[in-house]
Amino acid sequence: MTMDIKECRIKVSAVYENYENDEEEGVTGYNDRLDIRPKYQREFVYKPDKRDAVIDTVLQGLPLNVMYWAKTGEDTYEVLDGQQRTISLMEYVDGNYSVEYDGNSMNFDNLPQDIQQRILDYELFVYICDGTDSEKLKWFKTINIAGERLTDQELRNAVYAGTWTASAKKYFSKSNCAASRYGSNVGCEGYVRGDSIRQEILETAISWIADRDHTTIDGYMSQHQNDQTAQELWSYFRTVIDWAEGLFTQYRKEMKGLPWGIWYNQLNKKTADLDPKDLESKVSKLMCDEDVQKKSGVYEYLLFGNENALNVRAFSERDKRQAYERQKGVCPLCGKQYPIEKMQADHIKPWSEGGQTIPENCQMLCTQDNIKKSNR
Amino acid sequence: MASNLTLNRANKAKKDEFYTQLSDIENELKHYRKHFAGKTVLCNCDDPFESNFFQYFCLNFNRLKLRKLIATCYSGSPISGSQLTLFGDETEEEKHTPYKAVVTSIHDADGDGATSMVDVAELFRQGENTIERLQGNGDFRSKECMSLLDEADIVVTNPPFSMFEEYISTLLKKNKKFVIIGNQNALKYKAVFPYLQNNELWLGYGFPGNVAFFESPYKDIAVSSTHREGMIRVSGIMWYTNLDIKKRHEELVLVKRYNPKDYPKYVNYDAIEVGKTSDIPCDYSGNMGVPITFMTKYDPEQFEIVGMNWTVLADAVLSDDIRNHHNVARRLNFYLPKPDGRGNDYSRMYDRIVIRNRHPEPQRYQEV
Repeated sequence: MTMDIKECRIKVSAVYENYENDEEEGVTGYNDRLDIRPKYQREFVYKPDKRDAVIDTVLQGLPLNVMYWAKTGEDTYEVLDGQQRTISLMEYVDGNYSVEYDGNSMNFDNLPQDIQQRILDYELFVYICDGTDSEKLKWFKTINIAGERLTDQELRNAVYAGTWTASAKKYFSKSNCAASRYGSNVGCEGYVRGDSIRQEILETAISWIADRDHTTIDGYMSQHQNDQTAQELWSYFRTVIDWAEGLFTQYRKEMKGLPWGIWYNQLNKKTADLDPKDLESKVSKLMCDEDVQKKSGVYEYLLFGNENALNVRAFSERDKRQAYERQKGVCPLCGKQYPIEKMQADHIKPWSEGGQTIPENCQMLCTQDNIKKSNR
Repeated sequence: MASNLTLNRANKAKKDEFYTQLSDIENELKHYRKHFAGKTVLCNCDDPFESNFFQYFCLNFNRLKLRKLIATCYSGSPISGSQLTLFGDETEEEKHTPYKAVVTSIHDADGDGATSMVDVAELFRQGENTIERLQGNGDFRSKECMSLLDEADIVVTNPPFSMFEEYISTLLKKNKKFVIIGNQNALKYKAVFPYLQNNELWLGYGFPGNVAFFESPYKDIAVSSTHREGMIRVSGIMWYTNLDIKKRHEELVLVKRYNPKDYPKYVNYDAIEVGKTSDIPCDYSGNMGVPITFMTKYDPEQFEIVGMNWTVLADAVLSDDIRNHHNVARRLNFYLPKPDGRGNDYSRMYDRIVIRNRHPEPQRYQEV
């Protein structure tokens, strides 16, 4: 199947056929074939003056900007761009608000017949695009330049629209949503970077569960697109946050934005015997340690023993030169002499055993021996 | 609209005469559309040509399939710049006599194809809809207004806040359906709260942030960044209704878990303090004290309302301990065992609604 973009002119009356607006269930029209606003999607509050301007444009017979619909099935679509304009029109025709017309407030029903007809016959200019999921995604990204920019995850939500996505949004995608408040002390926002409204929390959650299942975000979403609920994702996400909170009982801001889910996938069976009290005293000590330059690396270091994560302070050029002169350029391990540029600084008492980054704990090793030593 | 008020009238008016904006009425009432077909609607605090309630029901008369619309009010309103003469040549005095407007039909009376307030005025002139003087003063408690209330199915208005309690009590006692605007403090009234507790009354969709802007003939003295010209900003405003709406059946997703540190118990009542509605723990099965704004999120299938501080403490005696350690010891308030920063060892709580979760999750916290 190749990418297909169709230009269409669609009358307001056709979109209004069976129009339904329900804050929980979303907004549909076009005889149930068009998702104007899917469930739990960003609910823009369209200011009355903007809304009135749309009606004014239509009444004057002037063109509205082009709209984009994505094809989601045999004969079903989702509004990708033009949501608010569409809703403004539909809500007006549905009689839910009035605008000034000829100096009087008028609902749709109060307008003269011919003016009502003019609105119903007004043609929306729509690009309908169809293709495989990945083609659509690519295409969305290309046109995603006008108006309110969509995030990658918002685009994915459009491509993989369905029962699963709708359910996932309920937990992850509203401001002050369940996910953003989950947790006993700070809420998941203490662990996950991003904005729930912009779907960034959802994106992180899916990336973690996708890692668990050895797939990608797109892979996970397309696989689960037609699941009735996203309960699995929600309970998995809660488990990850509970795990992180259970290990590191004292919250610190450095915990935000770390790949907790990825770590949980690798370690959850192995961390059962770690003592939270012991971990806390280690965290506290490392946070005060001047040699630890990357404080957020403390957690990775404690879980995986990966010293690189800490970005431990290196010996200065002065310290290196001093040690080189003290050793007269001889590597203490192999006994050979080297020029300084062929040698590397090393902690005599390893940093992990409490050795500090001070001149008296510095020795120069030849490059080969230093690599050997750090691999031991 | 309010700018059309005569000075004379503004002087006579009480401080609680505000006009609700049409857009606010539209935003709330769109959720109730299914309730109005074949019904008689009464707006009994509304001057037809000043009030947007009257205008809303005129403009939507046919779409909502109303049977009848009644408004009781003071006469003498300008419409679309021209004085509508109701009863021949009135004196200035007569223009302020209370009258009732009854609408049974709205159609294009002036032949311009549209149906607007101009047609409404024309239909009064032609006698198809009627405007009559009231004998009394138009007070909703007067005999003639009460009989109009008897005739009505649904009452929709913004009653004077100073008379809210009596007003809503009258509607409830007469088993009327209604959608009316009130202050959030009204939900604590002795005449109101029991109905909320028994699910015979609930809150509507409301205003953004519970803040309303009313058209007002008075200066907005509230200092706020959101000041709007010709408007008065009033916070803590809600819609009260007993018509069913979707919102009451939406479960609040609970994400917090109980632990005794974050949810301390009151010293004078067996319930935990929950300072924010969104922090209600999902796994606590006992009584919880929540702020009164919880009512905007209340789903009767999810929670049971046990009472309020003043109902559950009605027979309580304040302990000497609290009396000796708090200089404003009130018998009907909850206290927490922590200093309040004003020299008292106990903290007195604002009014709280006491609720219980009907389906709590298993508690994770183990009592030691």
